Amino acid sequence: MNRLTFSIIFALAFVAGASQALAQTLTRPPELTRFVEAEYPPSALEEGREASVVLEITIDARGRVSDVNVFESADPEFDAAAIAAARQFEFVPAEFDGVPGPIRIHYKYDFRLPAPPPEPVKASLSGVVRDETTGEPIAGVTVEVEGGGSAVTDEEGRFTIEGLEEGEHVVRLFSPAFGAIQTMESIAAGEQLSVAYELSPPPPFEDEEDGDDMEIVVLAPVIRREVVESRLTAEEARSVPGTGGDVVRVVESLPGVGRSAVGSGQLVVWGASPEDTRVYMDGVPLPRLYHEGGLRSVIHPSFVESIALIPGGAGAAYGRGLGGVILVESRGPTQQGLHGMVGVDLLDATASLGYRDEKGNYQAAAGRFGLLDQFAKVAGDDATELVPIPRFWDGQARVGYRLRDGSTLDVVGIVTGDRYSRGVPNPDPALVTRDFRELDVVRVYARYRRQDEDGTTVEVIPWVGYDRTYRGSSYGSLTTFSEIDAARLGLRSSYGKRVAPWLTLRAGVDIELVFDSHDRSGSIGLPSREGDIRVFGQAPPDTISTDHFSTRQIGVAPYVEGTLSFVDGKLQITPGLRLDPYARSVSRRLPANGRIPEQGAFLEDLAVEPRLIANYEAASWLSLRGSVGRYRRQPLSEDLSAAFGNPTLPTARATQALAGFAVKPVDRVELEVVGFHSRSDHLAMRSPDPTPALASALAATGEGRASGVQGMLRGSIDPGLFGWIAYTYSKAERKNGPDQAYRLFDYDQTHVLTLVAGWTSKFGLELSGRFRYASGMPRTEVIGTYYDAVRDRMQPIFGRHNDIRLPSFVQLDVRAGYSKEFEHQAFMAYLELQNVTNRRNVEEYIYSPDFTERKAIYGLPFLPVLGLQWSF
Amino acid sequence: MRAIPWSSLISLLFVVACVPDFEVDESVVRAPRILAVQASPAESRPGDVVSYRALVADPSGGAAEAEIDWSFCVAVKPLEELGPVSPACVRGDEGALAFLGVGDEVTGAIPFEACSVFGPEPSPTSDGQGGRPVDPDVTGGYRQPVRAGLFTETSGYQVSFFEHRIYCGLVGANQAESLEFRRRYRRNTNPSIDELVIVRADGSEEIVEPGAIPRLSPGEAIELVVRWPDCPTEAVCGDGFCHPDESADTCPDDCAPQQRGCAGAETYLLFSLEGRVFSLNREAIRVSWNANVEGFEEPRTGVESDDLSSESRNRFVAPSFEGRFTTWIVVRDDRGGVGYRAVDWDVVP
Repeated sequence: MNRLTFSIIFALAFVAGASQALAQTLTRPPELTRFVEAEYPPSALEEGREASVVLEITIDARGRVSDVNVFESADPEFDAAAIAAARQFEFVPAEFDGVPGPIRIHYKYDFRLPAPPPEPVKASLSGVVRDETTGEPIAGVTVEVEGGGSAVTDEEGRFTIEGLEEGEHVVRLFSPAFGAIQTMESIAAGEQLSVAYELSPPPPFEDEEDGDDMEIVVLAPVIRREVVESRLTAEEARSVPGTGGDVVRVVESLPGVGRSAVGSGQLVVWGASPEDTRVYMDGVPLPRLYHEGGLRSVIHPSFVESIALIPGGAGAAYGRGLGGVILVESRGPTQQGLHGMVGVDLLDATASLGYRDEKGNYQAAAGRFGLLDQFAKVAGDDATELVPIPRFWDGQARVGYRLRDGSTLDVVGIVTGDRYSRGVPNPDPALVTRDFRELDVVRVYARYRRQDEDGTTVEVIPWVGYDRTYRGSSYGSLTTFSEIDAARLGLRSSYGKRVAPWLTLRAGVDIELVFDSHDRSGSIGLPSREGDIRVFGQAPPDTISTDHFSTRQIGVAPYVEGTLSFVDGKLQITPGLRLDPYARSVSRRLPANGRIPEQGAFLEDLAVEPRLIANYEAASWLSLRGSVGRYRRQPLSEDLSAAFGNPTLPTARATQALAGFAVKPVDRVELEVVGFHSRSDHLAMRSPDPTPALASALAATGEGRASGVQGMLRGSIDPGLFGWIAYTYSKAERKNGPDQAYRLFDYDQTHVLTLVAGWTSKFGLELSGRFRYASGMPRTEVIGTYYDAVRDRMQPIFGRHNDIRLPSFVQLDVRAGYSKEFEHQAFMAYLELQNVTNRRNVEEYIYSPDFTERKAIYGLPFLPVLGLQWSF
Repeated sequence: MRAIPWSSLISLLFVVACVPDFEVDESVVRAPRILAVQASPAESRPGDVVSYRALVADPSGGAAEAEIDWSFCVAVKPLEELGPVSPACVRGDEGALAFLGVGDEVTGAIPFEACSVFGPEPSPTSDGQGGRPVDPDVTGGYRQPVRAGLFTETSGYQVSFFEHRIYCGLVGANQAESLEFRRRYRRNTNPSIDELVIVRADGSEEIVEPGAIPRLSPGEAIELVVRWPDCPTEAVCGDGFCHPDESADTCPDDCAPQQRGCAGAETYLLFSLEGRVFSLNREAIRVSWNANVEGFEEPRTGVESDDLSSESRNRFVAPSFEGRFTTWIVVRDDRGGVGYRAVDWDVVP
């Protein structure tokens, strides 16, 4: 729009004749009542020219424009535009001696170029970050406003971020030494918002639901609900070597986690069986954390916010497992607008796309597809004959809404799939082996979260899911398969409220329903179980059985816990109680028998699981903590087979006790040490009874015990340099029955040491390294042989169960990454060098056919992995 | 070491980057040992009198100066034991073995409780519950373990186990199913080596007669062919085999006064535990090739159950030196039947 100004530079009253002009007096000048804007000449607008035109306008006695002439010209275009506009003017007529009469006036049109739109009024966020306990300012904390810039606190803990738009902003505070948190700030246009964030003493183990390593103290003291929890944000995890860009795989580097055999993808936490460690994504249970082969997690990394590991002593919110708990918190797109990512490396191709509006609502999707089998096709059949090539994919779609009351609602769908097959030919038909595994997982859930200003929290997560598992193998003419179809649904809900300055209550319910059907046929010795005495490659028993059955398992677990705060919040005691009523029906109580009608089994149980957690902040640099609790786990549904297992297996039980301390000797450095002890019983083992009862192939006779100490030293030198040293000493033992002696647990690892260090420059360069040492897992020695004249092979005679170990595992991985941001795009490349020393780590022992010679199967040699990623 | 194909980086990624290979030629007899145990008859009821005969090989090629003690293993194998027999029988624990005798060949009666200890008819447990029956093998059979202890001056005491197929009936079958099984099931017959044929490089074939000592040139490469009787797969009366679909009434020539078996890959009745239906299955045959010299390309070959072939081949390269050597060829069927033959060879220029 051009801007037209006009002014009356003077008015010259006159009448049609000069005599009248001389005879009458102007008593009222004309008054403009209708102004019409002149059209800015296009060429002048393009050329940026401005001008003024003085017009001579004749107004008749009725106030209408009767004539217009140019008095002072600018150029023809401006003149014509001004005249055209002025002809449409209307006036209150001039008066001479009180009588309306014609008049001629001079008008000046000013053609001025349109001014640029006014700059929006920017706001700013400034403030200080202090230690909640000491009041001391904290330097080096990165404060980031999502989509609005960031700043690092100075020595006085102060920061300022300018140029912010008005509206709700996600504010994240991050310190390599302490982790990350986030909160929301509402900023008005032009507001200079000043805030003060008080951080609790920076513990490495925090509230499991806030997703924070530090907490902002607003109204309530920091509530510590877990004694031991290691949490990393996705940003921290991404740069840890060995993950290959898959942030969830950082779990392997956390304290308390044993090293699993390469390719197994199993998680061994504090001496618990892999199936005893539960995996949750936003509170929704997943059957496994890794794809087949253990190379990738099943959760797309684009939407991971944080990963936390509670190796033991979990609060009342968690149950149905005797080991650790892994919590993966997800998020939607973090930036406004449409953004996406495409990446590829040696293992897979990945992509994500998401849109987030200014209110925080979003829609997003991501997918990942393994490329290994594609490479294998290029390599030829040889590559797939002996070497198992896992095929995998996963995807995620999600929408999120920020509701009017500040609460959020996310709806998420997850799919994952795995296919794995291998065949080993042999001229001897008895030695031809084949192996197949398939797993499909679907989860759909909604997550509603609300946090009120008084600290009250509400979370509701209803979910449904479907799992299909197929495992098949053949060893000569012996064929074994197992197929499980499982429909799952559940609800996880919690409500937390600070009911008094000294008491915060939290209650919830954890519901899981599983309806599954099983088809299984083959050897009872496949798959192998913990406690089996065997060697790698040993043929399974060639006797077979079969079963087709279904189960319904219902668990409805209400829980409540309250945190009592004493001594100004320095002493917190959190008693909790989880009730886990459990009901199960199995379609077959006894193996199929043509003479007996089929009958089912029903079992119900009420597990009372008390928990107690205590934390004491003895000083600003020292905290003490401890916990004790009872835990239960329902039997695995595949163990409820009347032919292969036992439909009446009870729940397995465990008692865990932890005690430890955390010290912060200097700023940005923290050491935490925790000792643990657990005892478990009612573990399902193969029946040691030489004459077991019908439908009692498994018996709940197993017992376990594990003790150890875990230490973690974590710190940072400046905001770009971080690292940790995690060490766990443990001894885990099992016994198969009450009359048997304790022996080492199959996954026992006495020493597990992990060193991680990383550096991030301001210029997008990342360098990091990881060193791992782990004791070898126990194995049972072969001390002799006998000849099996039916199968024409030697059979091993074993020594004491788990009396020898594989050699220790030592590996060094390094990673270099570089990211470059352009105007609306970013490019990232990384090179991971795994096992840079090319150490030959023994993964398994293998024996010659006559068992007179033992050799080793080695793990991955030096392996470079290059990854590329482009995002917009 | 045998490297897994390194034709792509993919091979680097997986479970085993390098699987070791053992330079063990399983076909070579390096010490006196039992190579096979043959039961006669191949399948028996509890209480039946049976004989066991061992094929003992000696690196010298002749008959081994060996002493074998025989026992029935009577200890139940617990489910936690993944080997074929109870560890108590391997150790020779007191009460775990029922002594049979000493010698190359012994005779004894199958224990009467064999079908309850090793079969589908378990005794009640101590607290009166029904016991868990032993699972059948893939051919639907059950086995009585037999322990053979071989003592030699050079190798000391070595334990071998043979599992004798016992005729016990079906687990979990109703009366009609049991009746049909008893009517149609044919007990196993030991396989035999009908022909051993030498195929020389020029394609000529030479049958090795029993007791003959064939000659080979030093380093001569031949193909050895083992042939066994071709067993009928269809019920054809008068073919010399009592097929499951024949009976003494419908085909007395094949099934009366006793059911005639076939010393090859027999067709037998199999009861499907899952579908509770009967089906006809065919035995697979495995051939073990042993010698007191190196030379066999494969230690074992065979034909699978869906392969109608009645022969198996293996390549052999004669020693490069003159002299005599011995081969022992053993054929085994799926149901535990065994046949064997020892052949001496002369290597002459």
